[in-house]
Amino acid sequence: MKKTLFLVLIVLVVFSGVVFAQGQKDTPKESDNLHVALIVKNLSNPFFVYMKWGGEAAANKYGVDYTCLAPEQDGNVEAQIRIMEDLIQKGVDAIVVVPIDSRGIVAGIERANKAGVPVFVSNTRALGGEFLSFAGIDHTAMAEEMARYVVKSLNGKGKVIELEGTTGAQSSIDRGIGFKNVFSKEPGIEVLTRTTAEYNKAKAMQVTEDLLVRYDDIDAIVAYNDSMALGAVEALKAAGRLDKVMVTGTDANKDALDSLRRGELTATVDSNPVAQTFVPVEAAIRYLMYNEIPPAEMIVGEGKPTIVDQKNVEAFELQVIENLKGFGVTAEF
Amino acid sequence: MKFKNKLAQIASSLRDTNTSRALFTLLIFFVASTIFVNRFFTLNNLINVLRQSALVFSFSIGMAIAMLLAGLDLSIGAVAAYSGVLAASLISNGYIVLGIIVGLLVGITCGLISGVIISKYKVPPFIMTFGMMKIASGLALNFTKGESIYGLSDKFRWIGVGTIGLIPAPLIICTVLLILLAYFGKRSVLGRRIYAVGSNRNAARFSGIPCERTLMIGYALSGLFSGIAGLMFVARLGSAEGIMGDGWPLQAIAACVLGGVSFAGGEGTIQGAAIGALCVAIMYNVLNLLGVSPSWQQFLIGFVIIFVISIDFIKSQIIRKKNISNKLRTMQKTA
Repeated sequence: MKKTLFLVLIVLVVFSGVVFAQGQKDTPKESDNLHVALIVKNLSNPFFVYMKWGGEAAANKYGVDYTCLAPEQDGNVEAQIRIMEDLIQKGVDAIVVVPIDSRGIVAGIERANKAGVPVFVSNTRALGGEFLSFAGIDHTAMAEEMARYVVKSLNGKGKVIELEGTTGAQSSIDRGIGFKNVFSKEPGIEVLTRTTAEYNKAKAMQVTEDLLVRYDDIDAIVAYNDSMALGAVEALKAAGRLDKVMVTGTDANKDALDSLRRGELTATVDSNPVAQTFVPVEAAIRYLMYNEIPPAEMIVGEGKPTIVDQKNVEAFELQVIENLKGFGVTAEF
Repeated sequence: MKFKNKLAQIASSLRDTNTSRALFTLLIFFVASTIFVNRFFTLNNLINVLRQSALVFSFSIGMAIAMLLAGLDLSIGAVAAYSGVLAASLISNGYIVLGIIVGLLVGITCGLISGVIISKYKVPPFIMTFGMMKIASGLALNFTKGESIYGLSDKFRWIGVGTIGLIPAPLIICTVLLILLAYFGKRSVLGRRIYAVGSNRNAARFSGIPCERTLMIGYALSGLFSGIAGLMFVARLGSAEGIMGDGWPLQAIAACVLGGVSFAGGEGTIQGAAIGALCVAIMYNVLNLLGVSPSWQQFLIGFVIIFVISIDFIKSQIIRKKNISNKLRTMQKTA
């Protein structure tokens, strides 16, 4: 009797998650013999889920088989290398990878080189191995654009706090440079402090609560990603100071867009995760099908980075959905 | 008359040496922070610290129960995350009460599974709860597919961000929990059994205490409190993410250790864990106020834990040696 109860309990726990979960998106309808794989850093951050969609859109466009894999949340570059090896064994025709660590991933790329599988790198650089191209965004330019928006909104005068990302992450370093480039040239802007909330919402909420005690006068909180921005928004809301402080994020995630719509977050900037994978996956497919040699560096997102604020959020969302729908990918916002 | 009894009860719980030691540690932290850290002793900041300590306490309860049973529960964060995301998906669709019930049930169930495997199949708690952590975390991440679940009703969010006057809701909820647990801790049959099983399993078994059942209920309770903590955090953040609870086990262990709860089992109190949670919250708060970088924060907190444990250990060694030399002296006198 106890044993059956126990079994029922196990089934209940596992089943509850499985029942409510939506199924995995199936691979596209027709398929050549070609199979392209995308490896991202994890699939627990919406940013990388959008990257998955980008790769899928490109694969759909050419009717090619597509796999997207990633290590678990706290996985490391070793896990990515293992995934690469498994994919090589499986016989993929090309791999696009977003490295967790620029040096660590080299071993995996070299293994792909030995097996003759072409490699493309996206978002974070790889410092070795042979790969056909690197597709990335200019984090610094993105941050500079956001910084200029903040300066304009504050009319050139104000006290700013920066919430940095994970210590040592290249994206955080590059974004910091961008903000510094603009803010340091503005005499009216005072950066009170730069502190990290590790790209994490809960940590950002806690840090912001303490910052609100330290500083009576804050005009803007500038966060290097949306999760942290939303954490800061919650802390400001709880302290009743949201109307006096503008908060900006980076990435234009779903929940950030929702916050914009509700008038809480002030602005965010599109870091174009979809394009960051669409472009290299398409390049990989075109290399396989038509032998097109891609340029060594592909900077994704031509022109000015798009600032999304409370005024243009609806239009922005519609555009993203339309773009993806064109390739048979249902993106829900 | 009743008031005098209550005071006597509080005094007797403090007479527990572990808890009074914890209180002493807290006093030092508090006084040092007030003197050396600018803006620590302001109304806003103290409310912040109390709120943050209530949150730390909420997920330390489960760890404290596991440690009292001479075990460990590494799954507290992941179970909270899984409870939180399942509850949030229901709450965001309008089913507040059902969501809360589901959240608590999931917590209890995960804890019960851990408890059964630990007690019946003799798997070490460290390994079992580590496995449960991975399972619950995986289920949570798979359920949310990496995105966060938001759109939670304001009524539900009260338990995370609401206040009565100036007092934050999490603090009220956790104070109520604390009073209940402290009162029933050593006075209830279950409470006494937990202490007995934790301090000496064999002796407990020979006294007729159902050890396996006590372990199962203990870990199930840990799961329940993880579920409660999960609900509070989701209410506070306004959204549920699959990665919630990352780093909780470490903070919980810190809170329990600073609060006088021993890994060996059977020593310490839930009140001690609450005091430890205050210490942890003060530490993080002070480091933030001083602008210390997170990498140094990690280092310092680990350092403080080891320091406190070592002092405890040295003190108990000194007391032991004194007792032994006293006994020798009395033996010599009578010889």
